[in-house]
Amino acid sequence: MNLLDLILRPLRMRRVTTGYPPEADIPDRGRRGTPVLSPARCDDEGACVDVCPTSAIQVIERGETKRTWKLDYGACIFCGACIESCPNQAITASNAFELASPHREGLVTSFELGGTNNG
Amino acid sequence: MDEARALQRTISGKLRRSLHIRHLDSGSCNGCDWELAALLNPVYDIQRLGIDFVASPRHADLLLVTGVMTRNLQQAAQLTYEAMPEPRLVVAVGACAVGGGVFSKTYAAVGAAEPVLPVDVFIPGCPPRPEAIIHGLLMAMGRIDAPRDSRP
Repeated sequence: MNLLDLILRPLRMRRVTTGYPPEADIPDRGRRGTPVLSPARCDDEGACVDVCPTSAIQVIERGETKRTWKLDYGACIFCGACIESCPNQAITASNAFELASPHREGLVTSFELGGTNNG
Repeated sequence: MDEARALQRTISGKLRRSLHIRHLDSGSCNGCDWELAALLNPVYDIQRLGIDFVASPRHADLLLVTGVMTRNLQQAAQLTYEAMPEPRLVVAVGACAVGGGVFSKTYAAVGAAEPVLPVDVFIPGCPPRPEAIIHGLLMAMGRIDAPRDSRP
């Protein structure tokens, strides 16, 4: 590269600034992603609960059959261990990033798990 | 760019100047701080939205806390908050400031930012992406008029 190229390169460069907001942004390929549960695929095996290093994922039992799967994004360190551990691929990596909330409780997502046998 | 324009109108209408942020590192691993540094680069460029970082809490409208609250920084964090003029906002960035994170159980740490400072918006992530921080700042701007009692 000669000196003229170095001088002209900034002039040839296009705009690099992202359009967010409001344009949706495509993350870098290296990003692991935000864990999101698909309740229909969950077999309630509990592998994600065991493997979560910060106990962000918990299953809370209420009564005999009612079980609530909870993921606290405020405690999650986005390590992806739950995504790798799930035998049914019920937890997937998503590009969601608009997770901010004015309330601490607003960071918790939960799903009612079905009965013990029908997933 | 309607949302960006609306944000600029909100900022100039309510603050009559740019939204100035004081960044407080209360014990961060520097992951979140690098994402904050990325906000100022040409790719994210939050100055296009009328947001900038300042060097003193006395000039700031918003206190941005990263990292777990350490015992050494607890008093300094309170003094920083008290030095800010009204109306003031507090935003907790990253898993440590939001919920204590991986370092909260050590003897040197108090825990999350919330009991020490009245946090207005929580931005989770380890670290959060720059877009996630921009989204949280948009949310905080919408809360500037809310009375202190109705805040979490």
